[in-house]
Order: sequence, then structure tokens, then C-alpha cells
Amino acid sequence: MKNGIIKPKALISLNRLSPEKESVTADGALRLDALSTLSDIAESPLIKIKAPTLAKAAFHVGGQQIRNRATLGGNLCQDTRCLYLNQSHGFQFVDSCYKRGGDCCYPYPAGKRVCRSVFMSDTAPVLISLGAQLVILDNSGEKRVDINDFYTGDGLKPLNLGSAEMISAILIPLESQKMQCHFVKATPRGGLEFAMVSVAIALKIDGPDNNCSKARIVVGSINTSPLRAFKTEQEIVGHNLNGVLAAEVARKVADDVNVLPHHGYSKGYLKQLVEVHTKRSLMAMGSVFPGNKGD
Amino acid sequence: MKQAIELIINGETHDLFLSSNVTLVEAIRDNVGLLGTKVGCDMGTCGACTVLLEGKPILSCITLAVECNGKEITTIEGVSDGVTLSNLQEAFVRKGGVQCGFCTPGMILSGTALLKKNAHPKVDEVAKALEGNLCRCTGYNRIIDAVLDASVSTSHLQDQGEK
Repeated sequence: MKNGIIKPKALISLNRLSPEKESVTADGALRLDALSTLSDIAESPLIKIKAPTLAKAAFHVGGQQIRNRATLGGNLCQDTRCLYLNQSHGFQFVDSCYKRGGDCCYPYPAGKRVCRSVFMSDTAPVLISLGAQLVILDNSGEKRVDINDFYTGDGLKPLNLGSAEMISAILIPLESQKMQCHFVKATPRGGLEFAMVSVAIALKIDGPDNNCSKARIVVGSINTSPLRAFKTEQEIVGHNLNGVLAAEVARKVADDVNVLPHHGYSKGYLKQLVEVHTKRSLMAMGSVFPGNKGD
Repeated sequence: MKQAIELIINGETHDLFLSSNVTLVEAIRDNVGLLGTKVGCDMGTCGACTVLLEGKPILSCITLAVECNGKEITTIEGVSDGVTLSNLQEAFVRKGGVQCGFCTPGMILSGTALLKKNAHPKVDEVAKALEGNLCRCTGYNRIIDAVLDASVSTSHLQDQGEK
């Protein structure tokens, strides 16, 4: 609003609603109020046990002042970003870009009416890796939406959320709480920054044979929505991970997702970051990829 | 559209009548007249406007005053005990953690909140707690030294049974 990107006629504050504390539902799902602050999520002992990658992602958003007011629902519903869109002065060059209601795009000047502004949320990739469900409220009541169906991939309208709808709660299924998970946010300096890339991984490993029965590998901050490396996931599911090399999986993930340049970083650099951080994440999940020792 | 609100700043209640789009920093500086809280970027990216809302650091430039109705706010003016500087403020002086001083109120408030929560933070915990406060002058080292120094000097007082 301060940059004039959106000019709402009315603003309704949810400030006076108190968020419910995190709880466990009858079927063992972790239920989080959308109004929970990111600092509450980051510090919650229950969330650190049941969804540690979510606590970590929340802990690395912005700085503590931002985390003390920002909410989980708000973080999931943030708008996409682009250096040309998010100008700090009161005007944007001469003509408004597509996302501002105009007729052009500065970083991609030729072509159709497409907006490639990037979705920068850190909690969204983690919740996608955890197969979360969103409880969405509207005039007629509540409905459940799979988080995979919540993001459109359209930079002009990134969310599948109607104008009279809002997220009221986030549910993390019991099965996801038992998966092997990892999250990393790659930043230039380490604080008060958007990610260059982020990688959220969740693997379901069965039995002593190290068989992977479910895999979700999500790359964030490199496209108009977080992206799943579906092809790579399918290649490792149903396999014993003992002989699988983290480096190979990482290379596949970097090829699997379409990396858009953003915030001044080049596509090539970001793609390399995806590969490096995926590899490091998989190696940090050492017990899952035992063949990687010394790699 | 104006609203009547009450802000409790540094223990004093202020009755204000202001528009719902006035930010907390504008209310603190212009309506109440406390100028210690600074406006840096005015868009939530630098931390110069940091105040404590019910003890927690927040950015007053992107918080509406009306959302803080009836709540306790601590500004930099509320950190010292009248004339006596707090341990953290003394440590900033001792350690050379102030150059131009513009980031300092925000740094002190973030540091004060940290030490209340964690009396003996490690270096990385101090850096993490202050990540939302930017400084263009000092390079941060002496600011972190000041917080660590204060954590030692405060615990010394606690051992002696003082405040």
C-alpha cells in the first residue's frame, strides 16, 4: 500500500481476533490458526517436534520485529514480487506494468500479457512439502483446500482465493509429521532478506531397507508459485535410497524446475543454487542417503 | 475518519484523537511528541522505528496507531530510569556502539527485549535478535559487543541480589 501497488477502498483489521493456540485434532493432524504470528510458530515447542521445518522456515522470515506481527496466513497469501513492481518511490517508471493494471512488462518486454513476478514465501514451500490442507472461510462456511491447489502460478493472480474468502487454519496431516524433512533458505547475508532460493524436502522412508514410499521436493522463490520437482520425486519413489547419490538427485531437481531470474540474480546462478542447496539438504538427511558419506 | 484511542507509552496514558491511517510512529512522534523513535525507511525494512509493544519489538512505521489502542508501548525514552542509563545503554557507551546514533534507539530496544528473554545470549543469538535493525556506520561488531557486555554486567548485578 505504501508503494501504491494496491489501493484498497477499505481495510479490515483482524487485529482484535485472538489466534487459537496450536493443537492436535482427533485424527492426529497439527492444526495451526492462520492468525498465529510467525514468532509463535518459530518458538512453539509442539511445532518444533511435529513440524520442525515449518518452525525453521518461520524463524527465518524477515527479522524479529516482522515475525512478531506477521501471521502464517498472511505469509501464505503474500503477493508476488519483482524489482520493477516493488519500487520504493511513488511511481513506477512512466507506464504501469501488467501487475499494476497497465500494458507492459519491464523485465520481459516482448510477448503476451504474462507476469513473471516471483512468489517469495518461505513457509509455503514447507507446507507444500508437508502436504498441508488449508481451511478456507467464506460466507457459506468452511471448506478444505489442498495447498497444492492454492497457488495458481499466475503472477497476476497468484492465489486461488476469492475476494470474500480467507484462510482460517492450516492442517498438517499426521503422516507428514513422521516424514524425514529438511528446509533451507539461501540468502546473501543471512538476515532480514528474501530467499535467493529455498528448498523444502519431505521423504517417507519405510523399514530398515530405506525404501522411499513418498517424496515431496519443493523449490521456493524461483517462480510465480513454489514448484514441486515432480519428475524427480517419481524417480526416487518406490526405490531403495541406499545407492542413490544426493548429487544426482540435486542435478535432476535443478533441471526439473523452471527457475526464473529475480531480484537481480541471474537464472544460471539461481539454478546452480537450487542444485547446491538440494544436494546439501539431502546430505544433511544423512541417514536417508547413507551412500553419500564422504561425497 | 478519526477515532479516539488510548496509548500507554512508557507507563503514561495518552488519549489521542486521530485518523485510522496514522501509523504508530507518526502518533508517537507527532501526536505525543516523543522524538526518540526514528523514521528510517518508513516501510518496514530498516528497524529504526522499533518500539516494544507489550514487551515485543515491532516496527512502528508499518503498524497503525489504532491497532495499539489500550496497549503498553515502550519507546527509547522509557528505557532509562529518568537520568540513569540502563545497563545496556551504558554498555553501548563503554563499547563504542554508537556513531551517528540513528539506529541506536531501535538497537537498544531490540537488545533490551533480547536480554529480558535470554540473559546470556551467544554471539549468533545476539546477531539473530538484531537482524531486523540495520546500521550504516558501525559494522555491527561493537553493537554486538555492547549487548554481550551488558549481559555480563547485568548478571553480575543479579548475583549481588540487585535489580
